[in-house]
Amino acid sequence: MHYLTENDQDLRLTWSEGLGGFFPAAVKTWMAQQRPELLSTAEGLSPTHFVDTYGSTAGISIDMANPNTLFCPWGQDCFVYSSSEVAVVKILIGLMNQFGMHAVWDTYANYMAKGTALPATLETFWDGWITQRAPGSEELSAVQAVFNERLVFYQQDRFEMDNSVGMYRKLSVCDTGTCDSETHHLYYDSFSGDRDLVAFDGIKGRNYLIETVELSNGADT
Amino acid sequence: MFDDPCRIHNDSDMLSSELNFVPARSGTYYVEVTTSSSKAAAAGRYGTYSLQITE
Repeated sequence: MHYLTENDQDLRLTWSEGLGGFFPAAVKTWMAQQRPELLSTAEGLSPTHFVDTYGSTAGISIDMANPNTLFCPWGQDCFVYSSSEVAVVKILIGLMNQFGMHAVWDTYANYMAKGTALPATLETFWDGWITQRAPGSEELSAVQAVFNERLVFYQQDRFEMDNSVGMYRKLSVCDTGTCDSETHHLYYDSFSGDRDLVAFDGIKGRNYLIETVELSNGADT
Repeated sequence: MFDDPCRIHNDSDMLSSELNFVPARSGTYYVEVTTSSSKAAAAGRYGTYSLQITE
């Protein structure tokens, strides 16, 4: 059992469900533009609107391009992270709108379906986009903007020069309750594993709790 | 920390790490963070986290 409003799902699940949500939206978008007479979408609904029926009742009805946050707990936008299937759909729609369906499909068909042994996830789609298209800085920024809008960050963080001891900087040790943390993305260039090194001043005999917190987008530290 | 092997949560803390450290001498120490070498299949190679050190 899983729900559209969850954003802590298995990344393989969010990809398969996300692709399944994206594809009909892409087809209906094309039909609305090229063959509107074939479209069976109810009048007034966007082609990106997904409706799943149980018998004659609409069990699920959501515009994947503009999901309503009223579905989310406390009304906060829950359609974020690569671990949200709706976020995956929205990212794919965003890429389709900017770069066309061929760009999305080529990455899927020519990299994910036959070009890699990696699991089918949004991460692997990203790898495929970079590999297949070798985007220049302008396209890369545009693609990152689409991902960032859903709080997915496949990019270096502002501390990325911390991959070796000689390039370290010090993190302040904080008191309980008033702790400054720093946010990192486990991403270094394209595909290579990231290694973050952070120094701190330790005093003999004192007890330090070192922890990774606020994990998102499938981070496993 | 898995509550159900079939339901790994990519949430704020399930796949986090922590350790308590008491230095034997005063000095500069280094913390290294990478993607877990034994990461859950449901998790990612990338992702975002925050690091904090509390005394």
